[in-house]
Amino acid sequence: MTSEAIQERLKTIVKPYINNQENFEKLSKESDFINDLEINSANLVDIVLDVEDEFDIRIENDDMEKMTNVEATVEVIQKKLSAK
Amino acid sequence: MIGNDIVDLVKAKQESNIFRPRYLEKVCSPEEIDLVLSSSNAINTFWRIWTMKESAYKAFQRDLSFKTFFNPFAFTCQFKDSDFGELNYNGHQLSTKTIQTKEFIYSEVVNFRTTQRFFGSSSDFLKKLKTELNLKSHPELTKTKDGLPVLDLAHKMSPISKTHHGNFQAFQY
Repeated sequence: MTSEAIQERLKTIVKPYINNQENFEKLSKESDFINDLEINSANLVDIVLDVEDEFDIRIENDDMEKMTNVEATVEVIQKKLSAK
Repeated sequence: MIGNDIVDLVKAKQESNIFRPRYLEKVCSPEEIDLVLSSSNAINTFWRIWTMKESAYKAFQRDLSFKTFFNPFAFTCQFKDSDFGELNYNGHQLSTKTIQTKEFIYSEVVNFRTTQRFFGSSSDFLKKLKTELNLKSHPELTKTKDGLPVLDLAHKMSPISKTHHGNFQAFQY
């Protein structure tokens, strides 16, 4: 899967948790979940779980640790998909 | 060291389902999961652990200057009594104090030096400081180049930790 396609699906996943609509609409690789999208940190756990379900992968804590912005999250998903 | 975190219990109920499969395992050690599940109020016990971990994260981020990461699992908690607890992160240790009401759960890092605590809006907080410290101008909340919150008191910068969730906001300084 291309990183663009993953990013599109990730955008749908994060949508219910965002608190900054303007920054969500112009979401880019650099978008930070907490600082830009103003996602509550407890909902980062939900995003990790939604990503696991959506892509049928399991994310260990070492990888979860990096998932604070769009680019790093797409990279983790891509790595997990290619290891399947 | 300073670091604090607040959870609005009504908002948390709307936003998070801690009993969702695998949710607790992403955040808590097996011992912490036991604490949550054996508690008479599992949800409040979970948010106590969560706010302890978040306040420790904030304190260690300032102290050890690490880059932003998301791994609550890396912070392990122990309860000393109903208020006080201990936190371990990567060989580092600190103590926390938790305040629980019907409406919110709040934790902060406990220090050798006394820190102040304020519950309320930023504007009320800054107004209070101006009066208390007898300042000519309003103090400002700003950030260091590393993104850590500081209080600009005109004559000096003072570290501060702030937390906001739902209807509640708190400052430790």
